[in-house]
Amino acid sequence: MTHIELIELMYKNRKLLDDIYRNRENAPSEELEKSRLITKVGESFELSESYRNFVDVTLKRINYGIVFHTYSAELQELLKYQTRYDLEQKESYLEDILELIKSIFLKLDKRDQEIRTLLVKIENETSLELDLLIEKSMDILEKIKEVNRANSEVREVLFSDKIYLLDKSIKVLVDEINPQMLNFIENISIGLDRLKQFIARTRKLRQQNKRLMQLAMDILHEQDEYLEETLLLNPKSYYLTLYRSQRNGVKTYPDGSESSKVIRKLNQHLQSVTLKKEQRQFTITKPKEEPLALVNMDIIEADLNKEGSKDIFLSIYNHEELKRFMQESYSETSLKEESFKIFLQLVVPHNNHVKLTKAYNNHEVRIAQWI
Amino acid sequence: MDIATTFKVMMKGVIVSRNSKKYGEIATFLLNDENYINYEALLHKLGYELNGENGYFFLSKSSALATEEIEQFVLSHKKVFMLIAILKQLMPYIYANSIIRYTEFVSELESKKDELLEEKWNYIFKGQDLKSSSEQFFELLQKEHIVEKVEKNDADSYMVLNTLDYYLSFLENME
Repeated sequence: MTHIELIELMYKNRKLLDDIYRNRENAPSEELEKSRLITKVGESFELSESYRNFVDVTLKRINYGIVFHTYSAELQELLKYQTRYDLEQKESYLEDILELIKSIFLKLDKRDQEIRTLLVKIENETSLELDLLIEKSMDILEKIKEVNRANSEVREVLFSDKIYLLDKSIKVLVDEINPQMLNFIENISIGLDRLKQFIARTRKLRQQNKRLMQLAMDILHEQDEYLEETLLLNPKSYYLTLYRSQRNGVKTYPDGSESSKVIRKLNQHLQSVTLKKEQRQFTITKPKEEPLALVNMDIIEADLNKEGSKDIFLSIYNHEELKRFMQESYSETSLKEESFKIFLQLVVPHNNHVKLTKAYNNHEVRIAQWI
Repeated sequence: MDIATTFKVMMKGVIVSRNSKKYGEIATFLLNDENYINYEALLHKLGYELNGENGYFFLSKSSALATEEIEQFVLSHKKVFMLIAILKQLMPYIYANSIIRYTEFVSELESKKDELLEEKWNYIFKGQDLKSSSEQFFELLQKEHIVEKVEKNDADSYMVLNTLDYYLSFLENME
């Protein structure tokens, strides 16, 4: 059968093969039964190991139960050919050695892929119980350690004088594949670290979950005093908010001691503050100095006694003393008003010199005569 | 980001997680030592403490708790521990940064429910049946800042926030 015929066979029987892959009930065709793609196990059919490996590696699916073989058989074979070549110097042995090295290299490459896939798978596992996951991870860790030892062993043999210096063609091939071999070794070492960390994380997770379940049980059975004790031992370090919502802020209730503390602090502040009495601002203006002007009644009365008058008001009105007063005084009263005030002072008290008439002068003031 | 905005958010009782879409910026702001110190000094004046590690920050009260507060303080911790215990019983693998799906939670609830789970559920939802209150369960997780929607319009995917680590590290310190 050619390679292309094999592909055609697989295509033709794709549904049947998929059923077997998924462990569904199946009745394979005779053609398929004869092929090496499937194997009869008891009454049912399974994919053959080589085909399942091909599928798993290509699709990056892997079983936790994978067995990583070491290369001791291949390495023994290699040394056998090397001894024969040393003895007989036949070219064919050299070709066998080269083929064997290539085959070992391809296996190393495959292991590298498998380990990486296995790590991704286990790190993303969520269907297993944590206990089981830890158990499987520990298993894989051991397997990878073995692969690590085997890889180093392969490099040792390939670089041994017996093989490396056997022929130039071998030296060239080993040198060519060496960087990738180193890469595999490094990948494994990284993988080991990753897996160790993963196991540590998973163990921690398992422990946390156990504690959490225990705490939940204790809360349900009201045996959780230790939770309260821890919280109250140092409440400053723990999350406290009475209302957790977008609208309300962190709210706390003050207790009696807090209130008195606030009052004490307020008092301290109030006592230390001295208020300066604000001074009233006012301006002092000097009172205006007004010359005091007075009418000298005696002069007017003396003149009236001396000269007499037919109209006392007019005499006062025209008197020099009044004119002087009006000039000196700041009073806003008129000459007529001032004259009338003096007129009244002379006429109202009984005075034998004054004789009131019934007539009025041009200022509409009653005419009084001084006799 | 500034101290005023930070305080405005945190005074609402939010634990800000670094991996939160909503408040991540604040947590990143506080990861800067200078910002942390300045903010802490301000909070001290106001009577609060700033706490934070592993990518989450929250406020607590500087002075002693009042009697009314103690009860609430203890009760709210118990309630959140119970919420996380339910979540972990159904999804033991989750940790901060995990993405959890509501639909997956409901199907796990259906397949894994047992007497213990129902007891825990009853502690929070007092007699409500599992199915009708499972949406409420997620609402509570969001309210306590344990999870946050990955996308606003996606009602199925939730990110587990760093807040979870606060409760888990508390659990460790209790031993």
